[in-house]
Amino acid sequence: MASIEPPTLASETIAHIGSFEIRNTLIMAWLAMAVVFVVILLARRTKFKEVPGRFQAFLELIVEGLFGFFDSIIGEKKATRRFFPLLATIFLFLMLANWMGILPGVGSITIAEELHGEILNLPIFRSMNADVNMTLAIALISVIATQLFGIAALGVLPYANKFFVAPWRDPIGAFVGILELIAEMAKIISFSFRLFGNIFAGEVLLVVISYLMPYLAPIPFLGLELFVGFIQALVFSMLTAVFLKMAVTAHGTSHECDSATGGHEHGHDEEHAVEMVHA
Amino acid sequence: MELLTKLGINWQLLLAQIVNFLIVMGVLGYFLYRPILNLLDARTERIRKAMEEAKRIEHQAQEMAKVREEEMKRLDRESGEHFDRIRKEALELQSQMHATAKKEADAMIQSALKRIDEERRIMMEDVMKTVNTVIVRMTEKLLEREFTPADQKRIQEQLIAELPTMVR
Repeated sequence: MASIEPPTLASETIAHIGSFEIRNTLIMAWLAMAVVFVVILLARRTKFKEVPGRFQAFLELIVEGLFGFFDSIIGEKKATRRFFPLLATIFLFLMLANWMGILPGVGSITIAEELHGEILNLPIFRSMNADVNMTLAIALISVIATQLFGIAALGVLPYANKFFVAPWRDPIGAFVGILELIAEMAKIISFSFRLFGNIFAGEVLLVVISYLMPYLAPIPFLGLELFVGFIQALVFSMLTAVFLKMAVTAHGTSHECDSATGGHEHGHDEEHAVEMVHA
Repeated sequence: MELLTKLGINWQLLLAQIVNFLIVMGVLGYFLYRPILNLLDARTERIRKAMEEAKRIEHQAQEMAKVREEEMKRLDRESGEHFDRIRKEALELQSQMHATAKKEADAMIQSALKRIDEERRIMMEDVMKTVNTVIVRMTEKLLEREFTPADQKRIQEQLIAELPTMVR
């Protein structure tokens, strides 16, 4: 009986272009991109008509549904329209990549590589989000975009006032500002490791189940992974939407809100987001 | 650093994934989201306009219904008034005709009575003449048989003289 080979934390390098490593997760990212491009090509070929066909109606359903969902979080149509490409791409690209990660062949089609005199079977395909590089990349994009949109909406100084408050004027505000700054950094870690952890854990789970009971037993877990893939994409995009909304909201409004409600409203958006995630 | 190595973090790969994501976002945004959102906006706008138009037409229809109702009420009122006036005129005409007919009938009766009286008078005169003639003839016949011509003449003249008083 073959021994179980759980996936490693780091993705495997399949080839090199100069010093650039082509890893199995990058190949999956390219495949996911290819699927997106094919969908776009098909959509462009059918042309967007006034009376939609089935394919166009399906695309409209997705785009309209996502727009409505993000608009319900952001609450302002114009802002939603501005953030929509980022949010929708995070959701669709992550979900597609997560779902592609459970396709047959992903993780099971291997290539023999010699490493330190030892022959290793490296999987050619591996779920894109089972690599911290990808999740970190999207987390960085999300957090940087949040800062940029915040600066664009409020201006550099008012936005910086969220984090930097003169301690002699408002010591508590200065402390909260530092915490906010740390929280911004923490967002990158929480975003990237939440997604990575869930997808990697799913991979491990499927490997273990497939090893223990190769037939029928993995089916419910495949369904579970489909669900996890959807939920993780949703959580990532929804939290980005919440952070974007918070970033473009003037700092004064939340202070006014705090003073009006005795401080109970502090971090209300975040709580709301967490509640929605739990729901 | 050891953790980063264990996790397989590679700055080149990280950059590549960022670029990949940005490309996907740009392509999706330009070729999918924008056209579909524009289309949806146009459709929403058209639906909004159609709804407004429908509301306007409905409002217009309500106004027209109100005007029609008022017009119907006015017509009802006017036709009622018209009917009453015509009824009144008809009654007046009827009474006028009655009066005229009664007058004509009275006149006809009067003339008929006059004519009857006249005819009766003429008839009585005729009867009187006939009776006179008959009596004279009978008397002549009688006198011819019983009396002399002189007596006959005398009695005849006496009778003729007394006849009017006898007839009355």
